[in-house]
Amino acid sequence: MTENELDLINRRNIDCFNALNSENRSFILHIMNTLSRSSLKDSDLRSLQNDLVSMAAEAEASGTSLQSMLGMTAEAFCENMLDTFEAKRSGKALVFLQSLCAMYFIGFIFLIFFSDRNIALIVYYAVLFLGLSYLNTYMRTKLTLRKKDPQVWHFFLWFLAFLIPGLALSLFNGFGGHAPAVPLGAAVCGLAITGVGAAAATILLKKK
Amino acid sequence: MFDKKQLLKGVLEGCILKIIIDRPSYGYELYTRLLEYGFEDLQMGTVYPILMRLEKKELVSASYEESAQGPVKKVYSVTASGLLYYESFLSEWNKMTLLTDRILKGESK
Repeated sequence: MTENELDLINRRNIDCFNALNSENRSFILHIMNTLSRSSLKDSDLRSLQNDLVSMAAEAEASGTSLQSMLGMTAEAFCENMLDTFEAKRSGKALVFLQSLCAMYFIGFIFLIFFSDRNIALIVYYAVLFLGLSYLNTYMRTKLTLRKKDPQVWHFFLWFLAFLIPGLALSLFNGFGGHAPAVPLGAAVCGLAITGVGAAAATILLKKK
Repeated sequence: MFDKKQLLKGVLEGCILKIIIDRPSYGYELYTRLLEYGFEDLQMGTVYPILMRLEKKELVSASYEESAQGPVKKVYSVTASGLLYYESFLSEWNKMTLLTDRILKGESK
């Protein structure tokens, strides 16, 4: 089968996916989201995605759901897939970083109510959290059946948005009386940490 | 309680290959044939990953068939290496059942 033929099938299955009922759609997305964070290869995931859509359409035609057809929950199916392919349940780094930033963000919001802590840190972690959330969503959706994948330029916007609080605060000698280098340093370090984290997550996702 | 899953793992691969050798089939058709053979508590969610692995190992190949219901159906047929693999599976299986029968039925060496 040529790449073009495969591409046609993929497109046709995207249309079929959109025609599925919400139960089947969310079941497939759940599986794809879970497995796309594992070490399964992109090509295997695409093949699985196409097969699941076909099976779901067949299930709907016979008045049942994909879950009933598979005879198990999405989690159990994912476990079966990972066991059969001896795949690693990796790619959790991004989720971990995201959770960490969310905790910092919430923590700093509490702090601002009780002290005059640097608001830059709140902005900083908010941007970091949103950026990581976006990156995580990108990682997950690039393999799934949504028509519009996030574009690369969104990342540049995110990086810019990430640097702006630090640059602005360093110019105006920001909130909380920090030296200009502090917020800028924090932004640059944060950017580096995020970059390394994202790269590590990408490597983990690709690694077999 | 004995874990049937582990025993099934190796056996199913051979059974699935045999069904495909007999007649090229699509996933759900293959699953229903396994049910007909008596694998009553088997789930499609268990069969599918094995089928996908067979395809990845190039023991079966897939072709796509138009379907009136919308999505194309993936029909699996056995490859030359799949046939060889099945023959070696069958030979090992025969040896294994002979040996285990001897032990389990208390037969002499």
